[in-house]
Amino acid sequence: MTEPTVFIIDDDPGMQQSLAVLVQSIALNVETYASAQAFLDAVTPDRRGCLILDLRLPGMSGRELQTQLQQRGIHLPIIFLSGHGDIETAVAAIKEGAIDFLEKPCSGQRLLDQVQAALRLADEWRQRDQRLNIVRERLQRLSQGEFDVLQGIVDGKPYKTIAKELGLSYKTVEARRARIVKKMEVDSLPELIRLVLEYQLYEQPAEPKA
Amino acid sequence: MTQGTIDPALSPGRVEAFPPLFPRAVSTVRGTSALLLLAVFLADVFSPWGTAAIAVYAPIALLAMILPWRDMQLVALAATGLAVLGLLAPRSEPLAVEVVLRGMVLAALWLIVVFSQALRSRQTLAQVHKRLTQAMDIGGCFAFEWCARTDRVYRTFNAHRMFGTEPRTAMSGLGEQFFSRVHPDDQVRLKQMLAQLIPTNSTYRISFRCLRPDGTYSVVDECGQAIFDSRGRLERLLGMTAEVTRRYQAEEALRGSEERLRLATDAAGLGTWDVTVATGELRWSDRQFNLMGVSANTFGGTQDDFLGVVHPEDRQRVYEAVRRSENEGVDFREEFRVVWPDGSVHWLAGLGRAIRGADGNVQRMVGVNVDITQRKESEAALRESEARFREIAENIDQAFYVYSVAEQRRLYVSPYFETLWGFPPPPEEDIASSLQVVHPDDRESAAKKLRQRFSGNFPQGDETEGRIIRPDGTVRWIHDRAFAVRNPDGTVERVVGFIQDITALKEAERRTRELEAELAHATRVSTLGEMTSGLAHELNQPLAAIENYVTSCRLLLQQWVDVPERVLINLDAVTQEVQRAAAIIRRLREFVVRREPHLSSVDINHVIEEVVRLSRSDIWQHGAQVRLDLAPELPLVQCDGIQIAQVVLNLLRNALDAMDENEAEHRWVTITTRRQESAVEVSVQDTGSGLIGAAAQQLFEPFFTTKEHGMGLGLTICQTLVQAYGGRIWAESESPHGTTLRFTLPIC
Repeated sequence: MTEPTVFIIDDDPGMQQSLAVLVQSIALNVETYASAQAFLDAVTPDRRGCLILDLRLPGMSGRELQTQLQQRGIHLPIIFLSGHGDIETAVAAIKEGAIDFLEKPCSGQRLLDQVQAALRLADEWRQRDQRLNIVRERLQRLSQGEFDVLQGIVDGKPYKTIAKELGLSYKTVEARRARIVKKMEVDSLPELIRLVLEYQLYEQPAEPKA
Repeated sequence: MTQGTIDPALSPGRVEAFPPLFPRAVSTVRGTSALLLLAVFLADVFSPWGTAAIAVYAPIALLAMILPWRDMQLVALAATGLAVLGLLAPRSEPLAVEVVLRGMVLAALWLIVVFSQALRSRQTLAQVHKRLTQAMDIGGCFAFEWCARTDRVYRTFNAHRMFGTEPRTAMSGLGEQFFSRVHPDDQVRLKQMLAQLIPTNSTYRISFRCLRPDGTYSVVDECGQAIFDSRGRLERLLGMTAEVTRRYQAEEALRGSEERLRLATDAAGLGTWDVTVATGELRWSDRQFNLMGVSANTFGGTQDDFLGVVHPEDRQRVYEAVRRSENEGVDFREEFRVVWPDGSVHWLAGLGRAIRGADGNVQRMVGVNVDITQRKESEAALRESEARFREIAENIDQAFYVYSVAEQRRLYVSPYFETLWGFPPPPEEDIASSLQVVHPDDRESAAKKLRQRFSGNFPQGDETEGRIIRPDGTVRWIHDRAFAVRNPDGTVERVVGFIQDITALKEAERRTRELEAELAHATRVSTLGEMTSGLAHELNQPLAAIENYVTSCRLLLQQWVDVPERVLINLDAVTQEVQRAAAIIRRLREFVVRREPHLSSVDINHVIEEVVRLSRSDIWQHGAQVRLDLAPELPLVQCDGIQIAQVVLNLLRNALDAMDENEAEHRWVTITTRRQESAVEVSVQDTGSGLIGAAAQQLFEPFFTTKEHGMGLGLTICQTLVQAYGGRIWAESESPHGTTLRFTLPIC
């Protein structure tokens, strides 16, 4: 597992350098980029850490980069830096998951606090992603019939209702549940439901394997 | 010629100049007295009575004495003599002796009487001559007689006064000498006249000039008669000469003045006329015919002929005026038109005077006429132009005035004066009284201007502006433009001018200046803003970098060594200064950022929550607490949420800044929303030091600030934004601490 990295993206060399020095002063890894595109070219989904992102950048803007990363499924917490407080942009950025929107020059300590918070969050997200990946992988083991039954269980329906809706016998539903628990490698039914709900919360509705 | 002086040299002996007078006197005595004496003598001689004759003679003598006839004295004397003789010598001698004796006595007596008589006659004659001469002297004339045969001239004594010579030479001389003294121009005429005298036409009268010894000529008037002898030859000239120099001069002068009068009347175009009232006969001068357009040949010479020429519309009036003058003796004074044969109409002015006869009735009317067509035309033109002028002057919204420099008074001012000044123009107005209404600040310059102008010394097209104070206390700006009306010699005769009310213009100018100033100000601010906008971004980068480095330094120092407290304090100070610089830049930027409002229905509570959320770090840095007291279910407001957020943010930041001096537990900001009837009210209350004095009023003025490093624009922007939505923003300072800023936004 690689060390988390703080990615600094700022076109102003002084700013870039000072941010790097600041972050390094609390013994964190730093990578600096002068543009959003440079970072996008370099980043891979397995990278850990957070972003200190200047809102106004040459070429692709900070907000555009935020959108791009989301589309690519790269979940890195973003701390926006802005030369001036644009409330509208700030609100939009935060709504889309940025963890803070700091106006330059912001307190160095505060920035570091936010970086650390972001790294913790990144860690949470990474663990969650790992869990979700496991769930996704296991869900893909299920057949369509089993998936349908699982959906009914997650929705909290009694087996009878599930059987009736799917046009199956009660026994068949019982049998499929047992196979699901086995395939999903869970110890109990409540654990199964928690995993699936978390998955459904953060992922697009899981598509069964074709 | 001295009147009434009798020259002592005058004596009877000199009367020989008139020899015929003497024999005539003798013959007169002889005629009557001789017959009487002869009768007495015969009666005496042949009477039978001797001494008794006394009885006869005595009554005769007595009678002769009583009777007034002069010759009777002789008779009386003779009778007395004979009576005495009869007494002394009785008739004793023979008759012949007695006859001779008595005859001798009688003859002696007769001679005595005759000679005494002659003597007395001569005395009388001399007196007569003296008086005659005196009379002629008074009359300025003398008598003369010229004898053709001897060429001698005899003149009465006073001739010398007229000839200015010695009396002796004047009284007699040769005709030749006299002629030489006659003015050369008159000599020929005089000789011609004399040559024409014939017995049947023997009297003459002539005026000629005669040289005086002093070299001047006197004018004399001579009348005389030629006396011819039995053969028709000129024997003598008798006559009288009068000096008429003065009269001649007067006549000359009169003739001259008459001539001049005629010339003058002609030159003046005056026609003269003369009416005899009794006959109605009318006489016109040549000029008068011209004026009337009537030919002398066709003119009938009556009043009716005159009235016939007069324009029909004026005829009755002229007729009545003529009648009135004739009846009442008043002057005739009319202006009337005449129609010439060619149809043209001419205006005449007539002026006549009635002349009364001895009976008091008007006998004649004399007068003059003059053509006034041109005057009438120019009068009409003048009237028209004046009417036009008045119409303009009285209707324009400018006070028009005419000032006479010569008379130093105002001749005219148009009615607009009253509108402008607020009172009617005073009848008399001089510079001092004019200046009373002038605004004190403008009075001095106005006085100078008026004095210069009304003394006739000012540039053409002179303009001035100033204020006047009307009776109601209002101040009006006036603009006065004056022009000089000059005489041909270039001196200013009149000043005419227009005074216009330019108050509105001035007000507009003032407003324009204000707007220009505001615009200039705004432009400056805007320029400043543009600059600031660029600067803010550029400066924020290094500031942020400094902040980062300082924080790094601090962290690194803490990791490596036991850092002295002073170093850390200094680093904190750097951080604070960076934040201060950042704050200044932020405020500048806030002023600059202007965007098109984005209208939507906005929940004010939501905006406030958002702002507070975004200001977390600010609030934290100020160590303050924010309390929200938001009214539930607040109606939506139609506005740009961002702008309102800007207002709230501004007020919040001001509130935070205001409490920096407070102790940490007294730093509270309370944001309240309340529903009003038709508006939403937002208040931001702090627990700061409050506003002091003028600060409350000046709070919203641009660049007014109570902060050490503030720009003084925050609240100005807030005010602009709030007012743009029809809202209101104001400050309330609460004692002992704190300020509340409130603003309202109307509910849509």
